[in-house]
Amino acid sequence: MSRTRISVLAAILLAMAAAAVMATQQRQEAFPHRRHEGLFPLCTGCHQPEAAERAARFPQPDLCARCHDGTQQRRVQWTLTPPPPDNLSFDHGEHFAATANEDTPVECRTCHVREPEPSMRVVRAEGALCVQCHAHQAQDHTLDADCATCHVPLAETALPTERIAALPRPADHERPGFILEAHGARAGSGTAACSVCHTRERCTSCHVNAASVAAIGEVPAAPARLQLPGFEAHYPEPASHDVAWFERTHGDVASAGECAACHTRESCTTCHVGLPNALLAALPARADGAAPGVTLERVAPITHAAPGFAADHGPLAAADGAACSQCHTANACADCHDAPARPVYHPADFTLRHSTAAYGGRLECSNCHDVRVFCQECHQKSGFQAVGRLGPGFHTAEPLWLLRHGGAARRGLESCTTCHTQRNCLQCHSTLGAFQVSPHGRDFDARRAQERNAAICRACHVGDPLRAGVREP
Amino acid sequence: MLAALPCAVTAQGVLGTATTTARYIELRPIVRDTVPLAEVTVDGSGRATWNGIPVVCPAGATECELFRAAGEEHAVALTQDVSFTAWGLGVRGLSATVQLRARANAGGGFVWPRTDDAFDAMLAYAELDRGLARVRIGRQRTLGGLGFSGYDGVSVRADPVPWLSVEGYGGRSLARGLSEPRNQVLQGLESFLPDRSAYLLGGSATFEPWRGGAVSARYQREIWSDRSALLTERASVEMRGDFARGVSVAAAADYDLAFGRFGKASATVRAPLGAERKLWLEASARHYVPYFELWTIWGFFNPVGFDEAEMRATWRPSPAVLVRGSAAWRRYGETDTEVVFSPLEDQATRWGAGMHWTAAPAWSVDGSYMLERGFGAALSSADVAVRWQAGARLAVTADGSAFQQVEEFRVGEGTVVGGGLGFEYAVRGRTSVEGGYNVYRQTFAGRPGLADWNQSRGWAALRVGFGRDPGRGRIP
Repeated sequence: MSRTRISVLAAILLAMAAAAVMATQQRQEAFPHRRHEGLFPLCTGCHQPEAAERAARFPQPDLCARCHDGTQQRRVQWTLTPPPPDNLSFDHGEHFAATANEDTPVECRTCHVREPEPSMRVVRAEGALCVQCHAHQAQDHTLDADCATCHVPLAETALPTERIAALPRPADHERPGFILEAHGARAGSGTAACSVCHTRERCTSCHVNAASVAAIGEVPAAPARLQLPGFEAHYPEPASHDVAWFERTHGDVASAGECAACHTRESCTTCHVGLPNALLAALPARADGAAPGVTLERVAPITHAAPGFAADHGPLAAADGAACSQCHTANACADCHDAPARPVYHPADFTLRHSTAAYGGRLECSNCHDVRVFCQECHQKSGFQAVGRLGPGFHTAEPLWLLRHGGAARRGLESCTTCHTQRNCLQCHSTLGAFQVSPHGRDFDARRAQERNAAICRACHVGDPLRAGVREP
Repeated sequence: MLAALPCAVTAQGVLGTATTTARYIELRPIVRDTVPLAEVTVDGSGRATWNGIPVVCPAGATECELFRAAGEEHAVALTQDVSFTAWGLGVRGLSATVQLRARANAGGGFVWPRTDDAFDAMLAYAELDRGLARVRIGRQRTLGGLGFSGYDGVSVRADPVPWLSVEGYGGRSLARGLSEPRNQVLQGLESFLPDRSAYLLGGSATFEPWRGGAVSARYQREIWSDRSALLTERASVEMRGDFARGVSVAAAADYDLAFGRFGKASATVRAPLGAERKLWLEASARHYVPYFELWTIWGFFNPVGFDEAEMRATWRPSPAVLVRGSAAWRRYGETDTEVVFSPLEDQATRWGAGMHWTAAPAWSVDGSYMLERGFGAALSSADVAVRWQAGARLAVTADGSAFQQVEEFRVGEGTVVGGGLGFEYAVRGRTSVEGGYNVYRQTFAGRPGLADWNQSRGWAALRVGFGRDPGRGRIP
């Protein structure tokens, strides 16, 4: 016999042996009720349905040996195998006892035989049978029945991960607003129902304040043997957040009890700076392994989205600076207003085209720049500085500029001062100047000004101008 | 200092930024020059050189004067900013805020303004906030309807009830827009500036009649340290209010007590239209008049201001598109000056339009156009920028601009086109690097301007954020 044939024969024998072992095991697991149909007219011939212990409800192996003794029938080996994991809470004896005196007491076939099959055509009981009595008027047994009547908490089961993930999802869980509006109230009135499908880990995956919520503490935690399916924290936005000015008013309605369900201190400090510790302490801090809490992005209030906010936020800030300081430190103002070194506020070519903004006052230069130090210094170095001569000079478009400049100067005086010094103007606008032209306007209150700063009057006037009389413009 | 400060105070709760910036600025100054009278031509708009540069020819002179563009100059400005606020210094409610700036001129013949001032402490104050009262001591600034006012001194704010806040402040006054006393930073630059420091005194009250609404009033004066004269004496009122349906109002006005006249004033109403708030309208009215301190002669020249009305709108037809537009009309006050030949234009208009389009999650385009015609200068400008978010860390921006500017009181006009590239790179955490370079070219279009606007700009910045708010994590 060739070596190949020996190998093939050995493989066949091995396969047959394996098949025999498997067949034996199958016989051990599933008792062939149908083959014994004629022998056992009553279930109680082998089973004790009222027994409290599961093992006692099944026949002992020596009962099989009465026939399967190797003489009458071949020997068999049958042992009670553990039941597949489930989350049921069912007491056979209790059910028998409770219905024993009723017209239709519960029998084995009530649940394990599908009518009109013979008694030995047994099947596993189905949950629908339970509901026929325990929730017979229910539209949905996951909603209208008392879960704990038939089920044990998930934490007490050994359900595999796939079965946990496939547990039926009650219809109300799908309703809009369930998480925000309903689930808390349901849990607050008792967590027994929740615990049938959930362990505490499901709560703590979202609730950042889980440790301080009594209802969450009532939900049993998953033992190590239970491999829970993965789920991510989910934080739907409450309707209360979608109102006008919520970013301004949330401080009034914020309460540690409500906010702390979803928000950690990081939610506050995303925007706020320097909040008092007493406020922050009301919320838990983000911690490794705990629920992440809502992740916020620092988004500017809608007032900041106004097209001209960058240029026009002054009145807002002036009227309510405290509101600004909720989110900004004092440095934030200086980032722009202290003439930053980076092109933050002005475009890169602003130097080339700033004339219109400066003349027109569209941007109020002096809010950030000192005209003398910043503007005049640059103009001087760029050749735009006035030389103090009474000629048209730089104003080349205006041959009679000297005669015409008054109106332009009154309107654009700030622009004038970016090139001209005070002494340039005093060549004419002074009692000591060439033409002694009064620069004062129609509504100039000389006495009022003199009372506040008489020294500057003497820049143009010799002596007391009010006593000497002021020339009209 | 950069290395030491953050490390020393991190554990106490610090939020701050250190920014190192280098800027390259290319400029073409103008210089006065002369040209023989014989070489001057006369056309409809006056005397000019053969190539159109306007000249001024004094009577009887054989030489005419002109301004021409000088040679190219450039400046390299280095700036180091460090700013932080530190909390939790061992005393409840105690914090410190500091903003420092060091500058240097790192090359080039042109000294960029302020780079010759090596160091400024712009803010340096300690604050004790106990809820009902807040005290600040050190270099600080007060912000209100009168603008920013810096001082070295003390401010005390009390909040006796939730709807009322009262503040008083005073100290050595600092020059407006600068962080040093006037007699130090402006000495030599201006006439009539006494060599003495000044004091600033002021107070404000903020009344909050409802959440989202506030009215504030402020009085402030500055006086020379020898009490010889006032520098400023002003008061202001500001209000803001948020109302139903997203309507908000902000208004402010100030009064110059020294001269007895109103200063700036503004009011803005903003409201969304439609249930989905895709369209926002904003209407504002503004009166502007420049303010000058009493130690200069400028305020005595009775500057006149203008009244301006402006409408702005933003429309977001889809999450990816934002369209904005604005229109403004301005009228200047009566100057009470003689009219020679022709009056000045006393009205001005400004039109603007723009759009932001997020073409794809990583791509966005922003374009805008503005036309401003009025007193002093006119501008027509268009800008466009394309931004590419190349991953989580890198963003690249290409921008372009074109503008035509006409200056009214001298022969100065130019059309300039330019563009450049910029980038931002988040190194890690709050550390980022950014930079860019832009080139601008003037198209003379047959008529040369006085100045040459062919220029370049470049910048690079390293920004390091350090520390974190003490509210994060464990509370002591």
